[in-house]
Amino acid sequence: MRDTRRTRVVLAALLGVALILIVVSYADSSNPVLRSVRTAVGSVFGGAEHAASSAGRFFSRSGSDTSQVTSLQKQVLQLRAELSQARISKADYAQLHAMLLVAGADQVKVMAASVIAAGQSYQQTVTLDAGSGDGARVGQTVLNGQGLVGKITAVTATTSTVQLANATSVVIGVAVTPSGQLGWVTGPGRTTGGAGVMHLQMLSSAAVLQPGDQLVTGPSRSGQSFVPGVPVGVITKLVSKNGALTEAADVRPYVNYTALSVVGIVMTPPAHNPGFAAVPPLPHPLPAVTVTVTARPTASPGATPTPSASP
Amino acid sequence: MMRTASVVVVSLAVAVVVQVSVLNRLLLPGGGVPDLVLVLVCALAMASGPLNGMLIGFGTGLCLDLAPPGSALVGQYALVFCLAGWAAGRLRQVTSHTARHSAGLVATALLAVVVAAGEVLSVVVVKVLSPSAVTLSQLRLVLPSTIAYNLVLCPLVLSLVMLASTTVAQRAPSVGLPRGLAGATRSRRAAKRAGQLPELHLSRNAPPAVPHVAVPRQRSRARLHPAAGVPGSATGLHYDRTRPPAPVHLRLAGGRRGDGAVGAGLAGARRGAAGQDRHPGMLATRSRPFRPHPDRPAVPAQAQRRPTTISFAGRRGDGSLGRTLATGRSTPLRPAAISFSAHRGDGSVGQTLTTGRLAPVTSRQPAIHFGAHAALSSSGPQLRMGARRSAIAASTVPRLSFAANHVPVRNRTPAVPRFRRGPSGRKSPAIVPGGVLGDATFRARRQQAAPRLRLSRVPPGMLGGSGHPVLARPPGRARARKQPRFSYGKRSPLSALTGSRVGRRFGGRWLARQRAGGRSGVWLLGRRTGGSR
Repeated sequence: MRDTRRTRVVLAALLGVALILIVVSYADSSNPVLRSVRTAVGSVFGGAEHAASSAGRFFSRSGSDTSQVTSLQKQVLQLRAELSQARISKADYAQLHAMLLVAGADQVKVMAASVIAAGQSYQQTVTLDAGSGDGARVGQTVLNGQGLVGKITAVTATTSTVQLANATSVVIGVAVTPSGQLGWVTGPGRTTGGAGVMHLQMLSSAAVLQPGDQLVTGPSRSGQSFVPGVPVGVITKLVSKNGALTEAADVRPYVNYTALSVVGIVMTPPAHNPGFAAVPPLPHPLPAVTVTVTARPTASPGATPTPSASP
Repeated sequence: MMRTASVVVVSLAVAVVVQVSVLNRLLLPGGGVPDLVLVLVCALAMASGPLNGMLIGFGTGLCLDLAPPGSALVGQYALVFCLAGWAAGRLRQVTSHTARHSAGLVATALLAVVVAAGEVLSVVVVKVLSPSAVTLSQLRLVLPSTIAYNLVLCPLVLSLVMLASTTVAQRAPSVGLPRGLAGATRSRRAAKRAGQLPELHLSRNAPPAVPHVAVPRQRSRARLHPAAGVPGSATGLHYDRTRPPAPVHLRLAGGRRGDGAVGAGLAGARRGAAGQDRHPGMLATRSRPFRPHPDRPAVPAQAQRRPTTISFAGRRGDGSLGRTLATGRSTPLRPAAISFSAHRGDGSVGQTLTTGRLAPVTSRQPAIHFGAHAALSSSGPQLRMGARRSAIAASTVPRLSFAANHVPVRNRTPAVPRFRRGPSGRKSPAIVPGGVLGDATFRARRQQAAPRLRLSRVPPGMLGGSGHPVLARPPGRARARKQPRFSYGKRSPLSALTGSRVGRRFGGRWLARQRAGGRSGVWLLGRRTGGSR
């Protein structure tokens, strides 16, 4: 079949339409027409994805096992969320205790959801089976039992799309555990094994990093970024570049981004910054923590002595 | 039509869902995942042509853009898949010109190339549109693994598509989605059901004993033959490899059940002299006994209604032999003819066309074509010289072959009837045995070499000429002649390449063709003017 004039015309027309679509969505991603089309197509394909993933789960394991595992995972999630309120690092105990007394009713409410689909190769996005009907909104933070998963970027009635935190285009504001210094982390994108190495860059030149330091999401205005206090990862290696003003490090994320199954959507952000409450305990506490605290020039002026500083 | 289209749409929708909800979540080494949707789009496009391919690609890409995880920019996959579908559809004609036994391999290789190119293109689009979305280090890791997984998927998906298209083509007598998925305009089985038995019966050696009761026909097994446009080629009738290549008999039936062979009117007259089992029209294998048709008992001469005609001309009625014998002209059926011409009206040997192409089904006449291009025929029987791709190549359906079947096409020496040698004695056959040359190839060859057989220039009424200068160079094609690209001096080292005998072997000819220099007039016009080197 030779290329006829008609073929060429149709090809040009289709390419033109595709380019126009790209331009429109590039200029304004929240175009109402585009969004309604997305919602319509998404509801059709979302139902199919629901069915496909549930069928896949049915075939992969027996039904009772699945429900048990799912319920256990949800339980872990809920416990983790409660833990972020309950377990307070001793350093900030006094202050936070007061705050908790004030805002005792405020709890992080987490809604559990399952991952039912994943985006094409270079787009670190997944689809959850909870949509606007369940209360999911654009901008909500998603986490799981290990740590930060991502943020909701689009919502249909029954599904929601999550931009994963390890995408190369996502920047996470973080605080380093002991010192509270701020920095930002960028993801590696899709790589082997899913747990690729993230990259940490500090904001302040005075910050001192150690391998083994843990990172949580930093403070933010509500709705602008991630919910504060969610664990992100642990520093594995310091990266020193000649002439760099600030320190940089490689970070191993807590979450395996390619093996996501049950995640939680943070419905109500914490009223206060939980700090490092939710950080998982290290297998063996490093003595470096003590060194860091004593070396910090701006030691807490308060009369309450920290437990680590007291001999 | 609706049925085929719905099958395509459903399969693509299923592929999109499987891709996003199963394949994309796989944890494979390298970080890439097989791109089932792209492979399926390209395979379908390869089966259905560029126009359908780009439509399929656009729709599927748009679905992938909009289905829940979606892409950041709507339309980026539509763009890529549209181009990939178009390219795969374009490459379809390459496979249709490939010899049958290697067509599957060629199609798979082409599909793999197109899919890899599509993968690269999608990366490029992502990188251009949103540079921060993908890093180069990530690309080095993910892209090769993705292409490798696609490579694994290609033959699988392609064979599935071909199988499905074969099924669809056999179910529906007229396949709607243009040309059918595998290009079979009408499967052999469907043609048989419609009562259009092949009018040219070619009996094979080792016939069973007369009269032949209906042998339960083997159900044809579908094989991967994406030779588009060849009737029955996609259905891939089972080819019995265990039987030795046997010489075949030529029998030219009139198209009517039970009637005989070439020269039906003559058959009765000569029967006494030639013997009962020898046919006067037999040319190729005289020593073999003549059998009218293995499937049917011989019929007395009275039953043979229509005399046949052997015509060496293309036009009906011009320059034909034995036309006066055509007593049955009043009958609506046309006499059989052997036509050495391809187009009606031109005198060339080897250009293709079924004579009954535009004629209604009932009045289709049998024809023998030398070097027929099967893709153009609809369902008329064809006889090709040595082509393995014959539409009627099957163990049960006999075949006429003028060349040894087991010799590959390209190894055969050109055995072309030459009516006139060129002045320089160049050997450039106007027709290549094997009949696998497509229309385009034939035309390309015609530009290089003057046609051997120039019957078209002969005034009408003579040997087959109808006055149509078909073989003359078409006006649009004249510009396709190579233009000189660059020039060099007479004493440059490059001229040594073109001047010496050794140099001419290693690209000197090509160089000379590209050259525009002082002497280039002789060089470039040499072929046309007959000038010497």
